Amino acid sequence: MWQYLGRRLLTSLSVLIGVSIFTFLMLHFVPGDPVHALLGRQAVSPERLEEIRQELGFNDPIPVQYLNYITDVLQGDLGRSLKNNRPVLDSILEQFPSTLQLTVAALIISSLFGIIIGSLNAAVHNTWLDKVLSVLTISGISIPSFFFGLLLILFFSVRLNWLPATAKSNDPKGLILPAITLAVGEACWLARLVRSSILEEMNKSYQWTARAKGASERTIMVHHVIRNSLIPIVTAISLQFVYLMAGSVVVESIFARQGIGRLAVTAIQNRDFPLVQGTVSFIAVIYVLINTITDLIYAVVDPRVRLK
Amino acid sequence: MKQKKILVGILVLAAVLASSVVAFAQSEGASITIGISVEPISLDPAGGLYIPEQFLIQQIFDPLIAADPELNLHPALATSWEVNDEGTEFTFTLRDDVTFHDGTKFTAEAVKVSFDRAAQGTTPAAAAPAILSDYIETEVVDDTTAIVKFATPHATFLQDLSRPWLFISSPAAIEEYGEDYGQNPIGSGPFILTEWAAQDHITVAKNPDYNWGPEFYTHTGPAVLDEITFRFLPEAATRLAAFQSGEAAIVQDPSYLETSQLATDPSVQVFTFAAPGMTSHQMINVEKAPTDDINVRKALIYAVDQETISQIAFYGLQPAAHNVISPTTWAFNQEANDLYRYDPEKAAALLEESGWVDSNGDGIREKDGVNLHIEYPALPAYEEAFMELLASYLQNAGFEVNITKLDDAGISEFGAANKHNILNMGWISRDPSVLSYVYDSANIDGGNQSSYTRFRSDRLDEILETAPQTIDEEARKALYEEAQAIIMENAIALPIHSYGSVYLADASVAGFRFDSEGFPYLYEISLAAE
Repeated sequence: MWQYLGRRLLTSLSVLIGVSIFTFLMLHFVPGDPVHALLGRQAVSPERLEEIRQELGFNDPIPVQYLNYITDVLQGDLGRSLKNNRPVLDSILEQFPSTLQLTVAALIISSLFGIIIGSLNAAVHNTWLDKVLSVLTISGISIPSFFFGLLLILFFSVRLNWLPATAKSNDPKGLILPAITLAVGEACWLARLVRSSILEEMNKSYQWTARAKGASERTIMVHHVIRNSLIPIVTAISLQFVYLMAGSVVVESIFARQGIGRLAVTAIQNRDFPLVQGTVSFIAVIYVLINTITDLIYAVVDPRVRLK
Repeated sequence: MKQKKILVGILVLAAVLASSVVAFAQSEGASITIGISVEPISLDPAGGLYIPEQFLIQQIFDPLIAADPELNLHPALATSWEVNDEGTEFTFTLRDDVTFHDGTKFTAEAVKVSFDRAAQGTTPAAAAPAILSDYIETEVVDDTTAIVKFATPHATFLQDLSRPWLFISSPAAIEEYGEDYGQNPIGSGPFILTEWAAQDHITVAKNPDYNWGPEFYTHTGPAVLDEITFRFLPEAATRLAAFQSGEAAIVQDPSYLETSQLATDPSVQVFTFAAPGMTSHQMINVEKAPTDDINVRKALIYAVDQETISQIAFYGLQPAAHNVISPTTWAFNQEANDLYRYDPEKAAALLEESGWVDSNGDGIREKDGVNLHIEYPALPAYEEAFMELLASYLQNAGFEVNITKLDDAGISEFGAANKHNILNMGWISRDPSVLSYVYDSANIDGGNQSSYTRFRSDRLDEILETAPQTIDEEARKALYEEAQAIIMENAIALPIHSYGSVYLADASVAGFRFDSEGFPYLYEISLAAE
């Protein structure tokens, strides 16, 4: 077990190093001078440009810049934003709780709806209702969140005036529409997965054994089919956490919410290198952390995983 | 089984996190929410550059001299001022009854500290250092007298003082907050910053001691509103939704289509303002074929119908422009403005005169086997609304147009490499002196390298270099009128539109009035009883 744990952590670490190098290179190979981006259209002399480049260390070779950056990061210093000079870590820690709230709320919605609709859909297999639910869930997967979010705003905020479109981040009512917007795609995807997973279990032969032993249909469904079909579903839900966090980029922009996704987008638009690097690395850490935890839990649950 | 427990565990954890959201009590009273499009980067006057900073800085800080909407100057923190004959030394007599939001007293020392910082700039993008070029020092004579000294004459300095970049900060606060001063600005203005939640909102509260507003304000004493919340709503659709659902009483820059539809709604007030300064225009490159030929350049201008572009792209809310300077700017030249109007036949005649004809019937004119080709690097952030329309007017006249969409940095590189035929430029400013930044030929290869027309005229250079130092207003005005004539006669600028500020306000908002740069005086705004 310890050997497995060590191996797993080593893999995670190499993923993180890979992400940091990749982000760093991407930023430096995007065409256009970051100093120009920093200054916007402002008229500045070439001497001043050179001075700023020197100050920001853009004149060093890229490997040197990367090493300087990583050395600082290992000392807990993610640098300061080029735009507003705030420490990057402060900005991330200030924005992350809002993203976490949104992601967790969306995860609850998508899990509940996904499992309920998916089970219902499996239960009515091969009826007209099955077809209706299938069409609805596939539509739900296909609808882009920026469009769905605007529809919700138009209906619930502008038309009915029930829920705020742009609540301040500390207003719990403001969480409802963004969370639904973020959840809808994943909920529908989960519903499809639950449906097929249950149907697959229903077709397995152990049911016949159970029936032969005199178990009722209800017992078979609850104790055997649903329990067994939960295994892939739990995996899916843990993965969804990460997908939802990625999806928050769009939702945070539509609803003008605080959050790390919007922070990253703005940083990319501004070519605010330290902030982009910081937010991307932070999201990568969360991603790797959740995956590692999921894997470790598997290893505890299922000894076969450790041996691979 | 274990998986199930994990699932339950996740759900419980989630429920706890979700319920930990702090409940928010809506405070009643004279407070309003304003939806703005861009979050400020820093509210340090010495560090700001863009419009979002300007709007907020004006609420928190005071100028030495304030400009009314007609640009007449009025005493603010300075009660009187004198300029020496050379226009290099400015002596200010200051109020002695002003306190900053941190309780410290405003003195001449604050002027010195603020200008010394502004001359350096506290961020790379700061606008102040360019305004304070050749600044020597501020001499503190006594608590209420300060002398600002320059190495060269500064004809626009008194006007510049009324711009937010030269507003006065509390020296004690600068000392206290150091690098974080931009997030903790302390001035003496009508509103005090109380909260800044990044990517969410800024809240300012009324300064109860404020009693030193300039005389042209409609009332005296503290502001009418108790509290103003600025919400950062970058998406135009979200801004509009926030307005329609009543979450924001005022919104900035709504989308033009919706604004034109809402204009007929009696419960909605629409306020528009045409900004002074350079218009949004295409600078035409005289060093790259085919725009090295003046006939081709003139044909470009005649080929474009700005009135229709303004109607289609902006629903008329960004007015059509025909000059490099907008009509609301001091020293605007009407004759230069009247030189060109949409005339496709004239455009065709000029092109034919220079030998550009469509001999193979593909709709593109050619000469010696070369197509009449225009390279157009465009910045969608500014040009999205009209760039395709502009290209189609040029194509109708027989041009072949290649649009390359780039960001700011990409455009600067494209222009510096001399690959463009036309390139968009614009600059909101009260004074035509901004022309120097992009029309002085010293800025072609040297300087700021932003003279994308690459046009060289000794007379134009002389005007742009001497006018900012010309103290006599009539002489200065004549110089700038001549500059506009030279630019338009040589057809190096293709005007598109003037910049317009657009605000929506609901029926409860009273006392809405624009300042000289198109920002509402929030100090004067009140809420009518509904």
